Parts: sequence; C-alpha cells; structure tokens
Amino acid sequence: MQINRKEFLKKAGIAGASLIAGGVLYSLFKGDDIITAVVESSAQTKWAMLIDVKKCAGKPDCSACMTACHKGHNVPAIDDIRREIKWIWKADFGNVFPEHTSEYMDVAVRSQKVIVACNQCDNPPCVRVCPVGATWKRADGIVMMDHHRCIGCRYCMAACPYGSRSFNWKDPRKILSGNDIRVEYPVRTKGVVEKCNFCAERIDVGEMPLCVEACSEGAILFGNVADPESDIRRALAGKYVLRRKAELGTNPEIYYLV
Amino acid sequence: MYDGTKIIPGILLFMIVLSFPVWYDRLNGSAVIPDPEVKTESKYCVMPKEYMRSNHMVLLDEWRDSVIRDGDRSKVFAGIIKYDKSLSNSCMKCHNNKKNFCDRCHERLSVNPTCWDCHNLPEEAAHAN
Ligand code: HEC
Ligand code: HEC
Ligand code: HEC
Repeated sequence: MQINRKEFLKKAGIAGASLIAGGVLYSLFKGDDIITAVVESSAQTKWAMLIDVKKCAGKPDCSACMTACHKGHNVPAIDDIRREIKWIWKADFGNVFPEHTSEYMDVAVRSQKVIVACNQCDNPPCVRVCPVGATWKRADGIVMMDHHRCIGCRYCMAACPYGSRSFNWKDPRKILSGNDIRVEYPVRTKGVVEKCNFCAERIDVGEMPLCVEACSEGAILFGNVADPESDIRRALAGKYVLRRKAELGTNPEIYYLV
Repeated sequence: MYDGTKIIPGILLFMIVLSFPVWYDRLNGSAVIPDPEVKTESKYCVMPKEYMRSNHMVLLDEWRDSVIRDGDRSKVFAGIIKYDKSLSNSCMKCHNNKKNFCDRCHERLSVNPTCWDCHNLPEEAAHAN
C-alpha cells in the first residue's frame, strides 16, 4: 500500500487525538483519587453528635450552648448578617431541612428553631478545595482548622453546603471587649476563616464539648459512633434521624432527632 | 604601581564605608547583647537555656504542629512540673513579662512575630493594639 505524506500526517493525527481522548475519558470514569482518599476511614474513633430538636424546642429562649461556645472560643458577636461569625447557632426548621418541609406545613413548625453547627462531614467538601491544607479531616473524624496556615481565600466557604464557615472581615479583637476574652484560647485575626471544631481542644484531654456541657436539657448527645456500645450508637440504633442535606454525599456527623 | 597614591586611599575609604554598620554600632554603644529579664517562679525552662536561646522558635513550631495537626496535647516538663505545649498557657505564664523578655531580644533584632494578634497574654487580657 502506498501512503503519501499528507495521508500519513492525517492518520497519525487521528491516532494521537484518540489516544489523548481515551486517557481523558478513562480518568473521568475512574474518578478522582483525591475523593477516595478523603472517604476512606479506618478509625477506631469517630465523633458524632445527636441533637434532640424536641427537647430544644421546649425552651425557645435558651441559648446556653451558643453562649458557652462563643465565650469559650472568643467568637465575636457581630450584628451585620454579612459579617457575622458563627460556630453554633439557631436556624428555622424549614431552612435547615428544606427537603423535609412541605408548603402546607404550619408556619409555627416550619419556623421552629434548630441548633446547627459544622457537621464535621465524613466527606468534607471544604477539605477538598483548601489549597494550603489549612483544613483537614483528623483520624477521629473532626474537620480541623489550622489558623496558622489559613490564607483567607474562602474556597472552603464556597464549598460548604451548610454555611458553617465564617470569614473574619474585621479584627475580632476590636469587637471582643477586653474582659470578654478568654485568655487560654487564642482569638483569630482579620482574614482567616473559622468554624466549630467539635471542641477538639477539650476532646483531646478527655472532656466533653462546651455546648454539650452547657445544655441543661441534655438535648445534645456526643459520643463515639465507631464504638457499637457507646450511648450515641444505642440512641441512633432504633430511631429515625435526619442529617442535613445527606443526599449530597457529605455524610454529616451531626444527627437530628425530630 | 600606577596611581598608587589614589588607589590605596580609595580602597581604605571603601573599607571604612563598608564597615560603617559595625563601627557605628560599637561607637554608639548599641552593639550590646540584649539582656532578657528572666523573672519566673520556676528555676527551669522547658529546655536548657542555651537550647531555648537559639531554638525557641523551632520548639514553638513543633509544639504548634503536634498540638493542632497531630492532636497530641501531651505535657512537657519544666523541672518536675508539667506544662501544656502552649504559647499562652505555658511560655507566657512563666515569662509573664513580655516587654522585658521576648520583646527585648526581638526589638533589638527586628523580629516581629505575629503570634500576639491571636494568642493572648495572661496578665493583660485587654491588650488592645
Ligand atoms: C490567626 C490566629 C493565630 C496566629 C497569628 C497564631 N496562632 Fe497559634 N494558634 C491559634 C489557634 C486558633 C490555635 C488553637 C488553639 C487550640 O486548639 O488549643 C493555636 C495554637 C497554637 C499552639 C498550640 C496550643 C496553644 O495553646 O498554644 C502553639 C504552640 C501556637 N499556636 C504557636 C503560635 C506561634 C509561635 C505563633 C506566631 C509565630 C502563632 N501561634 C500565631 C491561632 C493563631
Ligand atoms: C516553667 C516556667 C517556664 C516555661 C513554661 C518556659 N520558660 Fe523559658 N525560661 C524559664 C527560666 C527559669 C529560664 C532561665 C533558665 C536559666 O537561666 O537556666 C528560661 C529561659 C528562656 C530563654 C533564654 C533566655 C536567655 O537569657 O537567653 C528563652 C528564649 C525562653 N526561656 C523562652 C521560652 C519559650 C519560648 C517558652 C515556651 C515555649 C518558655 N520559655 C517556657 C522558665 C520557663
Ligand atoms: C535571647 C533573646 C530572645 C528571647 C528572650 C526571645 N526570643 Fe524569640 N527570637 C529571638 C531571635 C534571635 C529570633 C529570630 C531568629 C531568626 O530570625 O531565625 C527569634 C524569633 C522568634 C520567633 C519566630 C519569629 C518569626 O518571624 O519566625 C518566635 C515565634 C519567637 N521568637 C517567640 C518568642 C517568645 C514567645 C519569646 C518569649 C517567651 C521569645 N521569643 C523570647 C531571640 C529571642
């Protein structure tokens, strides 16, 4: 068979292009190895929370958990909704669980307050997007923040489907008046992102998170879901519980009893 | 030698100008080693003094990484007393005179650690900047 130069180049081009396309398609279907790296877990310990919405609703004016947390971690109170810093807060049932709300639901039910915080996802989207490794998942499931490394790019805030992360638009020291500052825990600076850390600094020394300790109703149960004998596992075993936007595949570790 | 009368004084002058920072500091009396004031109840630091003097910033980084990244909040010893691996709750509890200790060295050397933007000083919780 005779082949001229033009014909040869054409065929070589087609062969090359299909090789590349094949590679691209293969890696697309094989999936991203970053995702699998985050999902896998061989943990002996996995911390989780079960929040009893009914117990909480019994005391609508209570804010003990939020006060304890924000005071303990030097979280400044900012009124401006675009600038506020939140580690744990209250939101309407209809906004927390839109997929479990119908248009015929009583306004009273729909606007019942539910405690929300960082869900400490098993498959945290914030971790996947952080370009500097300032946020990562510990072996025990806590999604940690290293404020020393945070560059304030806010990718994590865009990635989080729960709005659990806040950016420091102002120097928090200017807002926390002197006496409010708890010396033992650092404040943050302008330009870093922060969120609930499941009280890692307390868990690591064998204490319960501040919100759990502060709740007089016992509405927050905290424990190790990797241990089948733990209180939280027993509580979860026979109950119908909700998780926020579980359909996204983030695998939240905060469960709600409604 | 060609033009030795110009070259040699020229070199000398150049050397004088080059060494300006050294002799200026000597004459000025500002070339002294800073004397940080150790005013603590304990007799011991968390490491020997010589090590601390040259490596405290490395130690702080190690503490920070082990506490935050590895979740290792085990204690360290200073003498026989246990301390947390913590900037505010250990270093600054003992060295609670930042102005006359940390700052005396750092100002002299133009080192400006930004740690205090976040970490608090025990004795002056309200140290607004
Ligand atoms: C953006 C705020 C910020 C800055 C700036 C900062 N830190 Fe921290 N640091 C924190 C936070 C938040 C923690 C977490 C405390 C915890 O979990 O107990 C921490 C923890 C630490 C710890 C371990 C626990 C403790 O209580 O001290 C060390 C050591 C530490 N930082 C050292 C430093 C040093 C040294 C610098 C300056 C070079 C610095 N940090 C600057 C926010 C900051
Ligand atoms: C238990 C109290 C204590 C703690 C905690 C402590 N120090 Fe010290 N530090 C001392 C004492 C006492 C000395 C003087 C030791 C000596 O003279 O042999 C000293 C010496 C030093 C020196 C050398 C001073 C000089 O004159 O050269 C440095 C630097 C220092 N400490 C930094 C730190 C840092 C940084 C931390 C925290 C990581 C820390 N220290 C924690 C008590 C303490
Ligand atoms: C004996 C003098 C001396 C004393 C006392 C001292 N420092 Fe330092 N420190 C230095 C020097 C010198 C450097 C800079 C080293 C370098 O540039 O590599 C430094 C650097 C640092 C750094 C790193 C800064 C950076 O920009 O990376 C930190 C953090 C620090 N010191 C903390 C402390 C704290 C906290 C204390 C008081 C408890 C203290 N130092 C007391 C001499 C001292």
